[in-house]
Amino acid sequence: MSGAPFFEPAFLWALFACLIVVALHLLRRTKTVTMAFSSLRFFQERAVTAHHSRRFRQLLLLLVRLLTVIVVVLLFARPRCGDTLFEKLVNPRQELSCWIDATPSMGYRKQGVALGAKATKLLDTLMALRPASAQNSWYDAASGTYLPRKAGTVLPFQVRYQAPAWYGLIPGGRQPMLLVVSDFQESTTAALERAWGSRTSTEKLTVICVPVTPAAPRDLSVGAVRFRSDRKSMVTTTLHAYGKQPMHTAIWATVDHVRCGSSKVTIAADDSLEIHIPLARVVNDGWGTVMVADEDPLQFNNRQVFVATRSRGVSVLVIGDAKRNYPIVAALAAADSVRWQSLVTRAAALVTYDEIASADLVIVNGYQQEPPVLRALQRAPAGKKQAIIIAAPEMSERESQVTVSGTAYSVKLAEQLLTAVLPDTLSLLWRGFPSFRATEVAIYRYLQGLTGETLLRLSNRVSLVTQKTDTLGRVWITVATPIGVTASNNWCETGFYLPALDRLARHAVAMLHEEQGEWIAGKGRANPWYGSNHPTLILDENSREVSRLQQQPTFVLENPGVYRIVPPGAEAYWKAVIPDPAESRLIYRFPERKSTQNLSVSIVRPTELFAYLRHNHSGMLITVLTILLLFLLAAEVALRDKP
Amino acid sequence: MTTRFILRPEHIAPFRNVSLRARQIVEGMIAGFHKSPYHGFSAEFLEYRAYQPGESAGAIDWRLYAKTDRSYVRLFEDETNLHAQVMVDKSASMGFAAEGRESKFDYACTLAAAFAWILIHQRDAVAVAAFDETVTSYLPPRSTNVQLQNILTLLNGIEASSATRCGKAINMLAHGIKRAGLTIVLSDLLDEPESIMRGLRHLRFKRQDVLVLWLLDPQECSFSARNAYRLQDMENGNRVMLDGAVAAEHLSRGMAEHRQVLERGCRELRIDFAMVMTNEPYADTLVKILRKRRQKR
Repeated sequence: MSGAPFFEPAFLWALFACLIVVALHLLRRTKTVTMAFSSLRFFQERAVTAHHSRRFRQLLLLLVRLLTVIVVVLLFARPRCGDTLFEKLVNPRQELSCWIDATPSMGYRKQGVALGAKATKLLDTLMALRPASAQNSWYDAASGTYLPRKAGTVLPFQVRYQAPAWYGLIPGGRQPMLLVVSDFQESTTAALERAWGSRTSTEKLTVICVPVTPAAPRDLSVGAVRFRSDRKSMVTTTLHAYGKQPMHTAIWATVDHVRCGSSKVTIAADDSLEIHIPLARVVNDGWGTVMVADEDPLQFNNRQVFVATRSRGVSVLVIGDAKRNYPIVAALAAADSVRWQSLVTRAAALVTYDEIASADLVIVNGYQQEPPVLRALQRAPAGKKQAIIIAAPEMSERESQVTVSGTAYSVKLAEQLLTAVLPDTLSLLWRGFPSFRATEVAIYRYLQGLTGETLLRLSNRVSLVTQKTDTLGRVWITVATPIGVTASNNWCETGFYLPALDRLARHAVAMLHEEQGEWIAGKGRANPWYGSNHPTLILDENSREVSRLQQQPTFVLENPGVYRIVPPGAEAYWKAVIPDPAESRLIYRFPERKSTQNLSVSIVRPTELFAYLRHNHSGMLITVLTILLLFLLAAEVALRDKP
Repeated sequence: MTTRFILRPEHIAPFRNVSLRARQIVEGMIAGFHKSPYHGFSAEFLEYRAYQPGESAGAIDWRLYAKTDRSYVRLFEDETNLHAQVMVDKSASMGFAAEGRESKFDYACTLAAAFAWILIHQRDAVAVAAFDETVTSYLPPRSTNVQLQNILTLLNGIEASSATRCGKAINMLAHGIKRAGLTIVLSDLLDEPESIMRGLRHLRFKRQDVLVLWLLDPQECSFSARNAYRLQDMENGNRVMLDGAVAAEHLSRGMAEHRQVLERGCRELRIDFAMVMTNEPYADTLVKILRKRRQKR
């Protein structure tokens, strides 16, 4: 599309019709006959005046006709005031690519209508208001491309749990125009900005963002459910509330479609609450759901599935001084005695390789010098994947450097009160943790320079706990200070100790492939059975085959629910697939407006868009030209000589 | 001086046997022609004229009959009992001529000559006056053939010029009239209708049988609506630019009003009024006029 001031400049050739008008005018103009006349007594003054006025009228008529031709040509050529956004929308040559956010948050219902359905109708109406010859295309999630669509042929809105291929959202072609209708959740906006920010094409992309964000959203969402069963079965979940008002609701659990437990809840605005629901009967196997009774606008997260299987206990080996490590064992036993089975404490000199090999979780703490077993762990190939938590050795005031796992770290003395701070409260590790900052914890000595992902930090922003995964798939969690009885801190004496240790231990174990965290609908996962000789079947709750995994390096389960995993040569088990928790976070951010050489991003409200299209569809200039044309036609009629 | 018109034989051939009579009783004593209130003869012998059947036998000159075996009537001066005036408008407007046609003035002169011939042929005395703003030329009434020649010479010697004041001119001529008679006015009557009617009224007061011929060229009555016209008044030289349609409308309306006033006035004064188009043959014009007059007698 050129920068010419007309949408259809070819019609300007019709301006040559003005020559025809002039030629006709010259041919038809009155001939002047000069003659001597007997007497002018019968010709009154107004006859003379009438002649002068007629000549003037004829000139005026010529001008009116020329202007009429010009105005008609301009109307066909469709002038435009400039290359504005709205001008592009009404340009019949401008192809418009439309993308509706189909993420679960677009299922938010406002006055009974989902945001996505509203967006579909909005775009359909927009297409109908565009020039009939204009081309419109909609993003098709199945093919990942834009397919042509006409107004009235769009499909009903359907939530998709799988995020689109963001890179495929950017249309190609010449001077592409993308219209995005979304609630612009933070995650969606970030993905969109990454997608159009990573363009390399020099063609200018115009993006029109049309927000359908709810004004004062409110939502209750049920977090991932944990099932535990020893003498009694219980499910634990975290209920999140978004909104300005406290909410009162009930939450209940079902197993095998039978309601087994419930709890009444009062939750404050914008708060999270951990809820424990004891089940009425002991459940050994199967699956269930936890759902909240509230009919809030966003329903997809009001229900979560869980797998009700007895969790296999994790064998824990604590290596180090028994007295110093006693708090570790006691804390884990107190946190979850069922989960943390076989809590064994061994001195570094007495631990055997078999004990190390058979433990799921190895905790090394309470040593003066790095024990040889640690070096052995690093060098020896593991028979199975393990999680290893290594704490710093006991440090004296004189020591300035210590070596842990072959890496030398400098020892730091706290110059001010240092406490432990969570890096976030949203990750699986820390979601729902009671406190963000452990003010009662005081760290006196610590190692500086830990590498890896920070799981916990000091109040001076130095990493306190970090995580790495080695090439063998083992999870190494390093703690910069001892975690037992120690003079380097008072951690084990605080209320922060037990839950933090339990979380870190669970996290370490969850990193191993047997659990590997929650399965999230729509998100790709590495295929743990990749390369196996026989396929692994994935069946839905009605035993219908959903997927067959063998040679795929990754796979995606698109919809949340419970699935039956049938691995080859192993016992089948249930697996819960939950919706992306990020979709429940009703935090919105509009994309940043920008205008650069190859990108233009604008935010346009739906009302503003339709006000322009309905009332200014033809542009102010076209309206003015139309009025002018009517005026010229009236002038033509008025100026024409009466028969 | 070249003769602009010639009273050709074809002009007068149709009227050899036509007479132009005055409707009213006039002085004179030519039996059967114009009744005279007076009895007796004029002392001055004028000439002999062949006896026309139907005339009184008492007018026959028996002495000449005895000599010639033919009946003749003696004419005396006073026996020319009709004094006719032919008034010819010689104003500049009479000079209007469409392309390919003779001017109104020429047409008027030919008509005047024809009338003169008829009158002289029936032994009536004819006077001719040419006028524009005033009476510019006057030939006293005579009934001889020489008079006809004199009339032709007079008419041939004048040109259409000056403005029109026919009402005033008719008044002036009326002042000089001593006896009843016939007055023929040949003009385009481009003067104030009231002024014209005053003159005509004066003529009627002077016991004149008046015949007014309103001469027009067809070009003066028609304008093409598709053209514009740059007109110059032939009398005062004024110029105007007009649209054909507007000009036709104004002219039509003006002439209709003018005609209406003149016709009404002439009707009241019992004056014969006729509109003559210069594209009509002279013979047709004269026959029409004379026939109309005869019907009214």
